[in-house]
Amino acid sequence: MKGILRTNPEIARYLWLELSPQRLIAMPGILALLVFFVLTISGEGEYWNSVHYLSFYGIIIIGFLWGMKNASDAILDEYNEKTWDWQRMSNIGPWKLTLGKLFGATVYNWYGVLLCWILFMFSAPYTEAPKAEIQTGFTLLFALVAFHGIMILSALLLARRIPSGTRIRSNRIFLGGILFAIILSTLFSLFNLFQKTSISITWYGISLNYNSLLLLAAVAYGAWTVAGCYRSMRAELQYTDLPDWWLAFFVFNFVFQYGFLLPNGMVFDQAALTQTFLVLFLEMLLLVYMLALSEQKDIVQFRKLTASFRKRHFNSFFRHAPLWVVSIPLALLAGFAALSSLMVRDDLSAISSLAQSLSVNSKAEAAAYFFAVLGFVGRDLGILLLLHFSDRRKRADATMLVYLAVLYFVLPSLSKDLRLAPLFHPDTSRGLPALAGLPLVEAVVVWYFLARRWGKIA
Amino acid sequence: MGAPMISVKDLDFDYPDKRALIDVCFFIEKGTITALVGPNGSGKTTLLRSLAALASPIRGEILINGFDTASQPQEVHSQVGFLQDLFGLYDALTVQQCLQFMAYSRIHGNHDPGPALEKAIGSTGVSSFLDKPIGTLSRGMRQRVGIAAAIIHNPAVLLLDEPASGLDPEARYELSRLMVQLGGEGMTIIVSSHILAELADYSSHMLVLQDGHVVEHRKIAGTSSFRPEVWMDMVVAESPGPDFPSRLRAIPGILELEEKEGRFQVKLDLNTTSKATFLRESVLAGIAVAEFAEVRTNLQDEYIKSVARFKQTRTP
Repeated sequence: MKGILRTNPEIARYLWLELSPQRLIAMPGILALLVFFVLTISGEGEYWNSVHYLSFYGIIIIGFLWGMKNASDAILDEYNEKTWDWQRMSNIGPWKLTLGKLFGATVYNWYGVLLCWILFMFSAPYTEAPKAEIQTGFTLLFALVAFHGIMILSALLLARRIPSGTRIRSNRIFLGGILFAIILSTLFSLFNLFQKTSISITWYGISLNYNSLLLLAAVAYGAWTVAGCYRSMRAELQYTDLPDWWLAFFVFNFVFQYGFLLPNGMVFDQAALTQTFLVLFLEMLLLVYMLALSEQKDIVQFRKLTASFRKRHFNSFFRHAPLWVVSIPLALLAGFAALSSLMVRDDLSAISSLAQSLSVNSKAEAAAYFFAVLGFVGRDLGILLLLHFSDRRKRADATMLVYLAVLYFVLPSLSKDLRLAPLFHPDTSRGLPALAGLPLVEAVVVWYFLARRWGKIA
Repeated sequence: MGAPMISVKDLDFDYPDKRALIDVCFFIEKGTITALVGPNGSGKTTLLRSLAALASPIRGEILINGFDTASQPQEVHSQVGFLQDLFGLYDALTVQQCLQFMAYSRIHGNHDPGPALEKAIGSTGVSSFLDKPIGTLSRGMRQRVGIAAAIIHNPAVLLLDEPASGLDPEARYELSRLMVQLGGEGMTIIVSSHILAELADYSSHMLVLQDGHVVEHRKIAGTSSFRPEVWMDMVVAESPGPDFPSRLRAIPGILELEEKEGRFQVKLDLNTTSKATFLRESVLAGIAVAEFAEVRTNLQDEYIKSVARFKQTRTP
């Protein structure tokens, strides 16, 4: 144990906690009983198939469901039990701490997953599509790392915004994680990605079947999730970092997604470029909203941020800057790149189906639409900060969700006959000035009040 | 005097609803034990967390042994041991496992944590319950494990936030002894506590906080940095005569002599003498000693006076 303690004390601690001799015996014992039970109820010739499905669901339950809970508890327990400051003052280092949390807190789950995975791989050759199943087996392992990483990241995010001394329950994160998994699997089902057919997708001219693609995505995003955990852990241990990894993630997403949109045999395509930037813009906007609603936004943090900016202390600025603030320039970069790329073309054919569904018929309308989106984003973020800088800020994020629902759904449907749609969402029906102007005016008004509020509290 | 072990300049600390520390400035010398006193909400815990580089102030500079808490927090962490008021320990681990984990996680990889671990166990007297799970320990035992964890990397600075709260008298006495011992080893200690009488037993300095302001920071009258020196109060039965100071100074072990309203206070070097030896030598030198007692500072009174003075200065 001394060797492990020396290599990674955090892993050693979890080995003490998680791997008692009883538990080590219990896991294979229970799995053996389940296999025996499944074999007894399986029909002749179905044995391997039954074992295969049992091991698959074993990985899902032990690795995903239970493992995700343990991964988020790895952080939340430290906060709740008031041991996190010991860790923050320790000499373990962000990388070892990341690995300790990721694989230490879930070591018993990994033990169970490993046993199920061996069964899964051994039974794969006896299924209908052995090669696809073996690829799925590897995909599951990388996806597991990614999901555990997402839980740790979410727990760190949640813990930062909860006042110290408040007990944090992992239910919210766990349910969020499960919801995310359900949405993801629903999307996969919608696009028939779980069917074992020979659909092939071209990525930079390389033909991939979707199992290989899933494996590729699981490896790539699993690695990025681990990288995200590492950077978050660095922030917790008060290392000062520039947002270079966030920028790298942005570039990676561009490169990764561009490969799918690129027509076969080509290395450059203007339409693919426009589409990729557009997808990236929407992804970054989604991230801005998600992070803005989930990250800490107290006045003190913004005081530090503005003070660092004024003094040109950029290290300090980036240390205090929430990720949603850092994501805004990247969203703008992707948005303006998409718009510029669209403007140099003769028509809207690069985004024809999207333009049609949004009733955008010209490049001028597309540009106005883009500025309308920026106006609404500016307005929404302004309202969010106003709520957080107000005296009643306890449930500011929940209130903001209500405001968003009212602004984007309730008010537009109530005022349908008044034709006030451009006030509430980008709408081309009242001409270009209304399309871009009204949201920008709204944003300016909200930011005027925000500036006044800030003047009082700063 | 060399560079102070702790230097705090122009410190402001904000919470969303209030400013917890306002323009705080002070310096603390190496090897001193400072009693950090003040009412609830005065900013003691915030100050300790800032000194431990766990909370970042909005303005100001904190240097711990020359390291800046804002730009070198990791270096500060290696210099500081911090036991918080409501600290947690890994309840499912045994004391041995917990301290082993703390030792390996706080001491740099190239060094063997074994000796430091043994020393921390020895200093805090936890060796008798090393195999007990932490979750089963009494408050006093738990506190000792917490202190062992805080000093396991032999920090230059030890910060203790209400370490005596909830302890029984015996455990408090043990804690006082430990403070004296650690102070004697050269550790710079800041202890926040509400139990002022006990702080007086081992503190050399007092830092008073009130409403986020430093009201007073000074050496406690009659005390020295730690116990190798002690101030004694002496009353003589007869008129001492003009040669009395020189007679007294001739006795081995005396460091300083002060006269206050007919009473004499002598500072003894306990490394070269003891109270009993000094008393015997005084009697043998013909001094009619009527009273001879250690000077005990009433920290409570001094604290009340400090706060009253501060309130007076703030009254328009």
